[in-house]
Amino acid sequence: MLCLSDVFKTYVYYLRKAVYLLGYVMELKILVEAFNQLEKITSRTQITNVVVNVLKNTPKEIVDKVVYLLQGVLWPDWKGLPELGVGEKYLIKAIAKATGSSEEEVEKTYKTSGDLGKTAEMLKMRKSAGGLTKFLSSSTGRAGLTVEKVYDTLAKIALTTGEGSRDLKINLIAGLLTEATPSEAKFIVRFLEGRLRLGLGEATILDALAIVFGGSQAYRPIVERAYNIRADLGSIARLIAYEGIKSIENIKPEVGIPIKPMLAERLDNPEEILSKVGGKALVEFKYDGERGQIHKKDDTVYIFSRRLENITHQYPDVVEMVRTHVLSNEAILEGEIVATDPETGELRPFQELMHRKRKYDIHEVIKEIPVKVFLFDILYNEGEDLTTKPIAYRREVLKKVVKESEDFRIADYIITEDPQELEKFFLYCIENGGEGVVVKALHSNAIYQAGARGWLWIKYKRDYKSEMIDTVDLVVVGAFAGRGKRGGKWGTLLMAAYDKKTDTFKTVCKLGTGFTDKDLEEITEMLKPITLSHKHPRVDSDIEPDIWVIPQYVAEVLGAELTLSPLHTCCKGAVKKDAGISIRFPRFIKWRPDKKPEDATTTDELLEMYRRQLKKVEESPTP
Amino acid sequence: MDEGLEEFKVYFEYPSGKVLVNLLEVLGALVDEVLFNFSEDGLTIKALDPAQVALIKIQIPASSFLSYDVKSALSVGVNLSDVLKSLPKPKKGDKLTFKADGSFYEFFIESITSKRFKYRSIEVSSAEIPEELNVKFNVRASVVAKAFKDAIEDLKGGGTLVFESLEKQHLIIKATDIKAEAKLSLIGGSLLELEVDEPSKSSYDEEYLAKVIHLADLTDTLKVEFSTDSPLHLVLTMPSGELVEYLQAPKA
Repeated sequence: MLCLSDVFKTYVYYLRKAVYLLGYVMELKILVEAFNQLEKITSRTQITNVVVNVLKNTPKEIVDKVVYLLQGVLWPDWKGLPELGVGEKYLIKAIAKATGSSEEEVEKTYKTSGDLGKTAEMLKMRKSAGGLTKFLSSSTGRAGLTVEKVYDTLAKIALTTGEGSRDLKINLIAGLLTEATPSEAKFIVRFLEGRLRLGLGEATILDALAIVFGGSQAYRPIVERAYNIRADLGSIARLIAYEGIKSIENIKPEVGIPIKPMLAERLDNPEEILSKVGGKALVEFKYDGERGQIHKKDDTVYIFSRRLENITHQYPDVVEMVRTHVLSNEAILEGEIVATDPETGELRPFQELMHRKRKYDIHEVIKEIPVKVFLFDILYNEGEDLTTKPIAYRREVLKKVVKESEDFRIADYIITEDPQELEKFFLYCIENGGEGVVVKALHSNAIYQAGARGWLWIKYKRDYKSEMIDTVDLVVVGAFAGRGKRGGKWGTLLMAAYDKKTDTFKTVCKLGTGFTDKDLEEITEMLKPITLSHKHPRVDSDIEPDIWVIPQYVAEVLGAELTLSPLHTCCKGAVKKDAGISIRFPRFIKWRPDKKPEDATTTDELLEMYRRQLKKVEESPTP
Repeated sequence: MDEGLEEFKVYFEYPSGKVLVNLLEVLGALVDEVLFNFSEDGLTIKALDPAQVALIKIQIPASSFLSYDVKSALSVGVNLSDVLKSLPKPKKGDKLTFKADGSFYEFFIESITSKRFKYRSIEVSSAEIPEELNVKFNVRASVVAKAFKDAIEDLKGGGTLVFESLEKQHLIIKATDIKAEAKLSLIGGSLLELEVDEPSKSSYDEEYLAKVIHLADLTDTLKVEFSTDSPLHLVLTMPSGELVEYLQAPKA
């Protein structure tokens, strides 16, 4: 016979089920099942389908949180909020607490599995302990962890600081792991470590959003543009979920939310450059500084880096300049922040700005390394979206909005259609501490293509003057064990270029020259946390290195020449059947921490460089 | 200086500020923030520690207060770490008054000098804290509170505490890390009653018990209940009717 409490329990159980069905909450297991699937598949179409399925099952109230979790973050970096970054020691303590194991036992399992997520999963399966809820849950019809609870707890872990925060973080993690199933525990731990390893690029999430909320992938450009204009995928998803895909068709920039910067292609021939941009061009001095996107609303100023990090705190002097010299109440401008010599006022190299990264005594550093700001664009002004306007119009607005001074002014430029004049200005820029020039199309279609690299802007840098100093930026995707003196270290790296069309990284060369002993030590440490047992799904390689790694680190590489290679997948078949493009005698120059893997040299750029090189060979006089 | 709250939805006077602050300190050892739930029957506070190892429930019936005025049911989100940092420890006999208006709450300690402390209510997740326990306790003991407290304090640093009652005479607590034990017995007088349906043995994290053992200062006797590999259940009934229940998960 049913007693009253059983009736109540049944009631509570069905009430909770009803709440799930009505879509107010989302069980974590839906997301975790998807994560498990994503671990096993590499096909982009299949990955997109899995993400589509997740989003279809996501209540609109939490679609932003689900999108962030899919991205492996809690919020966009530019918000400047703390990252999770929970250390191994904390996680070991929390896993021990949640599974009723000793810390030694957790460490031992970790040594065998090499993965803390798997360790948590294994111990959860082995151990029966489950905190108090195990003894209480059945009475309340609990239906497992929800995405919202997990997100909110992770956010609390990230935001907890100060006295006692260590214990609170461990307890919060232990609480989540206690309630989690073994599989859920695996992904919670990986998320906390910042190593979700899903192989999920932003492009896939954009496709999935287009399919779910627009009905087809054809809506991808609309979603992508919105994301480029407001670089917060979670909030874009929320907007579409609530107001439909039409709501983002004419989305405007918003002060405080960074716009993805427009990027330039690369060429080294003035005639070719002018021809690509349609003849007449705006040629700007390319300063060797930090690109800053400056947002102003009344007296509030934000500065975002090229990678969309909030760098306002590094430049209190620039904040003051903006307040004084930008006449609009609301505006978004772009400029290059350049270090100068406090004695001579001469421009100094980009590296000098690194001293500004310190978080204390910034006012002292301002005196030692003063800066000048050279503005080159305006993207939004007093409610008007200027990204859809041609550059000539934007420059007119920029001139009106800025009250120029010696330290805060519009970048030097010329307007020309003459290659010789371009070359002359280029040499002038080099002579005066610049990197070269940026040539910008002046025609009526020359809008601001946020987040895109195109031929409307072309970089002409000194590096291109000689084949011997022609550098490219490549991504580390794997490594080979060193031999002899380099034994026990990763002596050679497998490097790849970014293929934008397929959103994958295609191998270009093995890089083993140019490293100092210190570099090699550092590489071993750098690769440890991003090592994979399998090829990353976004990597396309015919070579099998000793270890695979998550594409994360970008290195500047100097090459002697570009050659065809049957071993590498970059531009495979584009020049010759079964041959890709490789770099002969590659040499490590330096790391590029300012670049994301997607900012690396693209396969198309390498193809373009290869073809130019061929031209030179053909044009050389035959013996 | 801020004025006290003129309008209020909840008002109470509690005879012993010291006791109430002691209770808050025990809660503060487990959680950072709690909801004070006021109804016409009295004040209820429930807290599950973030690691879900310990749960505490405090019920203070309206009759335990000197004065208790609740205009309508109200939940007040209290940031315990802030309150415990700033609120001075009342002395024996200091009366404590509490007022809340939905946005703010304040404590007023009446002593030789009077002190008022005002805080903003915070949003505390009102997610359901399960409390219905589906466990039968095979060992049920009534213990002299002071003796129990001494036993736990003597075993401090012991890592895991194993509670064991294999026959109807003793309740033994063993500390595995320091290889020490405390024995509470009927003959010795530290145990007042002991019912053992089945010989039982269960382990608990000493760190948690050490944090809450000051509860034993609030009463003369307390109930200790457990079964093999089951939660530990402590129940304190205070002389003026306040009820404190503490549950702690077993270690595997």
